[in-house]
Amino acid sequence: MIFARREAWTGRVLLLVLMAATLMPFVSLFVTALHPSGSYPQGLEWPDDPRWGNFVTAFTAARMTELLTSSALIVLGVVPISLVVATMAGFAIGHLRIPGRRRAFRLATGSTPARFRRNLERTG
Amino acid sequence: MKRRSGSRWVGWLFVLPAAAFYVVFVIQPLAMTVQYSLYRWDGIGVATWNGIQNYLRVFTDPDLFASILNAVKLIVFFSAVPVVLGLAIAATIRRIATSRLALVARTVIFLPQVIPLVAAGITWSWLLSSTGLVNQLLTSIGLQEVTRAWLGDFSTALPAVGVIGAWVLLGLCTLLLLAGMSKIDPALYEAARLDGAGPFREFLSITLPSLRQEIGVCVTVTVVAALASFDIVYISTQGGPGNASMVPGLEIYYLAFSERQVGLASALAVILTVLVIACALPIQWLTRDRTS
Repeated sequence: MIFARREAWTGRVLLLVLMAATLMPFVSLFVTALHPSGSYPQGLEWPDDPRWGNFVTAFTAARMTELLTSSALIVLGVVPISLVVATMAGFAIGHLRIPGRRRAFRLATGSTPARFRRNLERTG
Repeated sequence: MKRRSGSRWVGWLFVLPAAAFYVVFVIQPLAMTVQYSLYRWDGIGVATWNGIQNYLRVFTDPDLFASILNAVKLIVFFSAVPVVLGLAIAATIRRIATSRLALVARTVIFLPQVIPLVAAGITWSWLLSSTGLVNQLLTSIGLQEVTRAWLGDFSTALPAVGVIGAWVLLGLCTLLLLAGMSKIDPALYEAARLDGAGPFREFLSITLPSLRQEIGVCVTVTVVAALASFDIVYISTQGGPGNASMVPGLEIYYLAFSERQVGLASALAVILTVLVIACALPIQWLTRDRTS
């Protein structure tokens, strides 16, 4: 089974390389965040004196509390309204067998990405 | 009998709120865009009838038409690269499905999907800058001649934007394809192995045909993402340098909100919508499940 072992190893190497490429931007972003503000670090370079306080400064400078409050407000509005409205429509189209329900379903999901629609049609 | 059919119509009352939202937020804006596209309008003053002049301009103005061509070029990066790489990764992960590495790889490769596109754009513009990590890596392996400001160079701006898109969409494709692979009967693979098939033969004869539908979904989603791209381009290059990485989504935004040519912007939007549908429908038709 030397054959299978070689296969598994090439596969593992491919995965590791792609994982490294995927993580590279995150690592770079994180390391850059630790540099003193106003400096322009070259590429990936661990700072001599990591400024962990940058995260706190960013939180206050960007007025994160206010921004998160706005996000929370949007969530509180969007989620209940769309859940109630969509559940009602889904109940009517899927369960009550109303006339023209196929056409209504097609029309309603026309702007939904195909990946979701495909699943819906399978279950429907 | 009559009463029963009447009560069936009552069910539409449940659909009514959703239908109202749909008409107000989807149908009406769409209709208004089509209407605007036939006028010459600065967004404030009086609109004057312009017929199909706006549409003619989209096809004759070299800048506007170039933006459409750029979107088509982006399909290579947004669609072909993630689907092909995604297939390779998914096939690899499936083979070592039980190991810890497979679990970690699945999570890591999906990470770019959960961060906002704006964050991806900012991070990558940092990586691809003239002093960024990409150039640092290239220099360390002795390729300092090719280092440059990737997003600021006329010849590399569009491919660089494409790389960002590929990075974002790879995780989505991998996960979708992996889900499709888990539905394939393992007995098929066993039979192929007993018949002496190698990993490539196995992939071509079993995996690919079984994934027809999943590949269709991946290609559709990524082609639409390429044609309708906005966020990544807006953050990383703003369409520049010059017009080197301009895409229709961004051009529509500039025309409507900076240059106040609402009619022309609407015409381009209508053309983009038609183009997206014209690309998505054949893909859906080609990859449809013909067995059911």
